Amino acid sequence: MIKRAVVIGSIVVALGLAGLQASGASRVEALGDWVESHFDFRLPAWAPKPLEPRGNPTTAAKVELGRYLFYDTRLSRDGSMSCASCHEQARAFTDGRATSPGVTGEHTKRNSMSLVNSAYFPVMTWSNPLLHSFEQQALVPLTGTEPVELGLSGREDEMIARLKAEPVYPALFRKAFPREKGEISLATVTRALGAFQRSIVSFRSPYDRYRYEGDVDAVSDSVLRGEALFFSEKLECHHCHNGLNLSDSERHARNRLGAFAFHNTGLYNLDGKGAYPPDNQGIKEITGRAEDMGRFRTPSLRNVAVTAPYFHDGSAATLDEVIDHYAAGGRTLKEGPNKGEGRLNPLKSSFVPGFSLTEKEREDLKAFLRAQTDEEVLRDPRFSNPWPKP
Amino acid sequence: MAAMALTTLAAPALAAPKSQSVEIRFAAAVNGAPLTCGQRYTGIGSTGASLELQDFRIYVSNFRLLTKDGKEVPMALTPDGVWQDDKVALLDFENATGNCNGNAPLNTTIKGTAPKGDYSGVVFDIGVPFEINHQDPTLAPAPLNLSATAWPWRVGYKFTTIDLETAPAAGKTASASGFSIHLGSTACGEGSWVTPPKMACSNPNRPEYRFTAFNPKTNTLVMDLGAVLATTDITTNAPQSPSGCMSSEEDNDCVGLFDRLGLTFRGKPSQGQAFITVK
Repeated sequence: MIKRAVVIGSIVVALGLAGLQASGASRVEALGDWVESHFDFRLPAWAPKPLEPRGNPTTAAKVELGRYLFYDTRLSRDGSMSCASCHEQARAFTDGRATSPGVTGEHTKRNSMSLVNSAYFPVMTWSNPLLHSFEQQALVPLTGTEPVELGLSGREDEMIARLKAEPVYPALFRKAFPREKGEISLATVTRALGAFQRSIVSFRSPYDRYRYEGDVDAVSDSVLRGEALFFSEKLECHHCHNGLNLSDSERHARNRLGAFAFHNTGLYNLDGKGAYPPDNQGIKEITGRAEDMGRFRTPSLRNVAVTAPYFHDGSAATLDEVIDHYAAGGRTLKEGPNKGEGRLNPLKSSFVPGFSLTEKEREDLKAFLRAQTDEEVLRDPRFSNPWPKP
Repeated sequence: MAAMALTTLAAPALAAPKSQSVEIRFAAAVNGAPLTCGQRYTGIGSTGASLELQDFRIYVSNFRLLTKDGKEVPMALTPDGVWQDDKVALLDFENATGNCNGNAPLNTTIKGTAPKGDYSGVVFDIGVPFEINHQDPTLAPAPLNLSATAWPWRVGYKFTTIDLETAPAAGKTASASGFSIHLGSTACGEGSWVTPPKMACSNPNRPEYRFTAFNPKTNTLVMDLGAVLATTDITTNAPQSPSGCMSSEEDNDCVGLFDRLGLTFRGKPSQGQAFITVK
């Protein structure tokens, strides 16, 4: 009797677990706090390591699985798109478009951000102070509905079933998640995607070689003149673009506390009181505070020459247009629904006062920006599509 | 017996630590009211303008305690890997709420050690010592590892990263909507912005603050933004100059401010600092 009861008990427990698995419960542990990663990112000696969530340590197996998932169109509702559809390696993991269409054709509101060195950002995306990890962020393109991107809202189980049916995955998941017994779930998918994104680091631009490795021949005199302009009080670029990624949002092993910042740069001024277009108003959409109108995160300037178009809505096609905007101290749009004088936006950062540049200075500034391109990261096989070409 | 008792009494006295821990507490205020992110303060400066905080972080260094007879005794800072190393400490009064940029934690207390003694005063500088002031923030250890408080390394760090959003008083107009107080060294010689100067900067701009009646156990040092800006118009910006005062000798926005920070400006000595008081 006693034995039988035990046996029945085990069956009940087993059924219970199976039931939980089916309904989405997971063996995966919580992300927890932020700790220094022990993964080999192949960093130069001077570069600090990224931090990672304690509950999702970066491992080679997890990065490899994440790479397969990143390039896998099974991660979209109709099998037409993957993460890489909007994050192309050759464009430093951006897509060359102002905004990006999802599986329904609806466009995102914001420009696809570069993923290179995004492991060093303490907040994800253009304008969400509450979004701190890749693992959380992955749910936005996967399951978001405003707008629909990969279109998996309410269809996660279909995606999981598709992954389970792909022969390469069971072994990849077992290697990446041994403690979780190779569980294939939304939790392990987002953790593997996070590990892969975290692994995309770059410190091999000509400017890196000059600035951090003392190679004075790595950059031209024009780059050095552009650097002096960039760091001058005349242009004020450096007040927001400084540090490891030329941003003022960063966090890493030598700066564990980290910091993040959001600024209104005077791109719009629809009503003379500082309004941005109603569908794209910066962190105000999250915080609900009127003062946060038009405040967006400072992007990294790494690889900026290959990540056009620019700004949160991709509304500047070229680096020249970006420089024009800052030189004018804010953009003036003379017609259309977004017309207005951004220069007079009352919520504009005081670090965007405007400046004048000679043609030669402009070329020098652009040479400095082009020196931020790491040609190797644009084709490094570690970050490229692992699937055989069809 | 008497000798033995003396010995046993003396032994613990010899073994006792010769230094004591010291904490120096700071606070930030606007005309006496506590300074916090997300709060608007009115009646500021020469035009009675209002302000709201964006950032308030200050490097302090060179702490000395004063004995009753006026002798200066160095206080050693206790490195903690975040806020202070052995030469400089960062005070942080922003918590990234409201309009503030930065990060959540505050740091308002400097921790260190000093030889055991009775102290009745404190002396310190606002600033980063020259020998560690001119370096790349990406490579520097805490608390010099922040891009927000860094400048190009020829001029070194911003000793005060104070950024304010401003608005004019009712019925008045404004030509600027922000005011910054970025105190730092200037006239650091010719050369690349991203190399350290060969010689000390002509204007180090590290004000010294000396308080002869300060008890670390009971007193706080209050930095008052209202008091330091009392003679400044924070709603205009001098033509062809950066927002607010960024320490340039050409910048008229610095005239009153430097005086009240306790610094010489354009060769004219300060009439006495009006920034920090003992409470």
